[in-house]
Amino acid sequence: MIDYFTVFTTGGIVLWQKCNQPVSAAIVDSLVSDIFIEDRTRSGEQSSLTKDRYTVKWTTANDFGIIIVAVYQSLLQISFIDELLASVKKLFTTLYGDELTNKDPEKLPVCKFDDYFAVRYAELEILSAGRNVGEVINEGFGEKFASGDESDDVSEPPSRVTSSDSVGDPVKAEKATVKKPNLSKRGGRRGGRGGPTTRVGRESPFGSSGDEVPTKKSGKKLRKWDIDGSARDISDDEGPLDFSAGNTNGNVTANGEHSDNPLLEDENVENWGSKTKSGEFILKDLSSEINSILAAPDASTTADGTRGASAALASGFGFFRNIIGNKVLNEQDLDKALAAMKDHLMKKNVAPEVAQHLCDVVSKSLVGTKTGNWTSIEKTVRAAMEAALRRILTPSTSVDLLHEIQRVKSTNPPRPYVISVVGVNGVGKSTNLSKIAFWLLQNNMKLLIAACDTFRSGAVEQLRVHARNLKKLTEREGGEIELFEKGYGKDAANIARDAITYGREHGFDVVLIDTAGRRHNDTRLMSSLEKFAKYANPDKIVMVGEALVGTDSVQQARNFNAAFGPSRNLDFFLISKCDTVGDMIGSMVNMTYSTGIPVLFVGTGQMYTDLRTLSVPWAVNMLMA
Amino acid sequence: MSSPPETAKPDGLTTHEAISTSGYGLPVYILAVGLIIITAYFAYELFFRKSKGLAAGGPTFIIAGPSGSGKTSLFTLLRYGEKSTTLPSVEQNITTKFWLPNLLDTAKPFVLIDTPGHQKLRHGMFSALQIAQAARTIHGVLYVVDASAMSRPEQLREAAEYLYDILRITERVRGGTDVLVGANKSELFTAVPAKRLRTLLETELDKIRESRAKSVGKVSAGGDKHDSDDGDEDDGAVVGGSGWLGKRGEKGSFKLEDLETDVMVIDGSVDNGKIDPWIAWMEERAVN
Repeated sequence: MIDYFTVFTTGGIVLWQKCNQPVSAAIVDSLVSDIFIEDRTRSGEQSSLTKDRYTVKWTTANDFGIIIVAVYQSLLQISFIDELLASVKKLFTTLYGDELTNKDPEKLPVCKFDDYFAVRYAELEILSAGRNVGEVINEGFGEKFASGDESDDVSEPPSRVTSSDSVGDPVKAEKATVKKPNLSKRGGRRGGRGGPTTRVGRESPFGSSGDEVPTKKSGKKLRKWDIDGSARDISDDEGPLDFSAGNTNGNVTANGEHSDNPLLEDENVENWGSKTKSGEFILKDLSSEINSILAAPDASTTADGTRGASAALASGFGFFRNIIGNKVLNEQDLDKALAAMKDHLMKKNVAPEVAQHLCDVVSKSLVGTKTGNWTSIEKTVRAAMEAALRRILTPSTSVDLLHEIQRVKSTNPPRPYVISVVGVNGVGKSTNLSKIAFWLLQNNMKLLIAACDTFRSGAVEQLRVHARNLKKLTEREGGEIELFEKGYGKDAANIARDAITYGREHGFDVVLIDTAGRRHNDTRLMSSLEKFAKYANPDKIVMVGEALVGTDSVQQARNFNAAFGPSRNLDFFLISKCDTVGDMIGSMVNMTYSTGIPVLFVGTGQMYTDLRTLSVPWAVNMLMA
Repeated sequence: MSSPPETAKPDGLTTHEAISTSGYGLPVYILAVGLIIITAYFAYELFFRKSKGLAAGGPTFIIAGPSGSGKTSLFTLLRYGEKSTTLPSVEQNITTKFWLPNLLDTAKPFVLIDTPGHQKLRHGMFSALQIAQAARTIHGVLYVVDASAMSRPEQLREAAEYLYDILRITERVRGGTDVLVGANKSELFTAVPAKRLRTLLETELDKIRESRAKSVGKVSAGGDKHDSDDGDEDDGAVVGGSGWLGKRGEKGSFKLEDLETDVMVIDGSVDNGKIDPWIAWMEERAVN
């Protein structure tokens, strides 16, 4: 069962919604902002996202400015969800298209979509139930077995089904007989793809026998599971088959498992039945209307057809169209402009993967929309790309270090604020650490620098020099700085912990921890970071990345972000050596894209003062220049 | 094969031209004049009209505020007289046909812009405000906050930070742009009353002012060593840096009254339809 289904405008006005299970508004809100604002989907083309225990699927209609979202519990597998979304999109845009295209309507659009949705949902449910028996199970479960990943999920539900089977056996048998006429009436007509013959053959013995066990057994033999199952346990093999047998009763049974199963099912069936009996005329009318809408060719495809016919005229006119604007964009139009844009971004050191993603985002957001008056496609794409870059680079929460340090200072008992820097060898961890130190010293903080790079020779001495310099520089302003060192060869995590204890005892405001540089794909060195995060538990973990690095920065950021264990992430990036790359600052985009973590600081030179916060417009300008 | 006709064509054209310039002077002149007019129009469209944008359409009110404060609900309530269920906005809602109830026949309709509250999308609000300020069409900013969340420090902090960024822009014009802080959801038990909210915001803005002044400067074009003291050369798109808001003074001395911008904090509730004081505020600003 779908928990929550909604159609809303990009402006956030809900046009229609259906709530089967109460889903808290906070969850839906966070899902919407994760998907459409923060762009947390990284699984390629698939428009789905799983968070907590919910899975979200969605589709958009840019030309109408609407978004269609379905939320359901991740445990459930709703096979027809994509079809449902597509048909709702079609129905909705056909029924309310006129109201929706008007960007400034006189009234709030009222969309009475309940009946359409209910009918379409029931249709698809029955269709998919039929298909499940026919082919989907064979293929679907075979794949799952081959992958083996989801064997846990698959083997879990059957036990429940079998237990409920024994209880609700007669009820189900009844239901099967109740549903049968419906199937032949409604499903049979459109059953072409479902394989009607297999379904009928499957369904009829089921309904008449009323006994589940023999059908299950026979079903297993018929489907020849042993080919797949030969490598696996036979008992494992039976699990999913049980499940599928449960499915033959109609998807409702499988879906209802988690809630009060018999009630829901009864209601649904009754609904369906009563409608067919008392209000058959209305229902038929509605469903035929739905079918006629869905059968109607897509507006865009017809447009394509006419365009193809008058291709010569279009190409001649296209040039003017491009200048004048007001052109409805399709993918072909965008491809050329986007290819150029992708090349441009890659020249700026943006990784191909990231550039492709950005182009996809832009393409998705533009297909179906009209270009503005006097705006060419290139300009439109450019503007959209700027917006996409801005969106990636802008942090979703602001970081105010000084404020946080003050806040921690005022806790009782006071403790030092801990910042640690990590990164690959030679990116400038110590240098930028001392730049941060200089800034904090100027704000009259009492600092402790912990030398936790116990590996590279000279690392401790380097920090000692920095500490001495900084002390001299800021003596007059009242900053205090001290170096905590334990020599070489010791465990970094322990030193960090000792440093923090020392800092607490001696009333330091901030402890800055320098760590050894490590290659991000060296698992041995990276694994020690988890222990480090546990022992030192820094308030902020800063990853220093150099602007020079290019494509590898994607992987660097990912690996470092994952290195601190499941419950800890990086907090922000410091991109060093920005003065050496000119406008090729693509590494910034790579790192924020791959982790969703913002760039806070930018290193721009060799002096202690050469530390800046990132200005997003500056970065966007550089990238688009 | 195709070369002979190709060469013939230009010849034909030149003879045509020769005829027209000698015999039919008038049509050519008309054509030329028409062409000039058309190019002039194109040039006008290209260079002048585009710079203005939609936000500069007419007298404008902008709705802003943190995520989840009820901006879109307020928008539909003001525009359509009914509030709708909402989800987080991804794009702006814009209407050019917004009438204030008491000014139905006197004034022109207003432009009402509802901006997304998500941090990543605030840029759109800043630029809309700047465009409207530059065109002198802005009549006020409705800054909506969830008063029931203002007792939580992080939420208050976020609300104050966004307000700070807006004030940085409104302070740039003489006399400032009026800002109404609408303490929405006042019907809730935990709602902070307007008076208290005002002082809360003031103390928070004071802290932000302090820490912004001390923060590291923003990186600027060319990566040179100048701190961008006032974020103006950034096109002001993202404000921040270390510009000082209000009078120079001791820590804790920030007062909203000291600003050029007139900031008022008024209770209201979109849920209960209690937005009359806000409408009154807008009507006051509308006639000016």
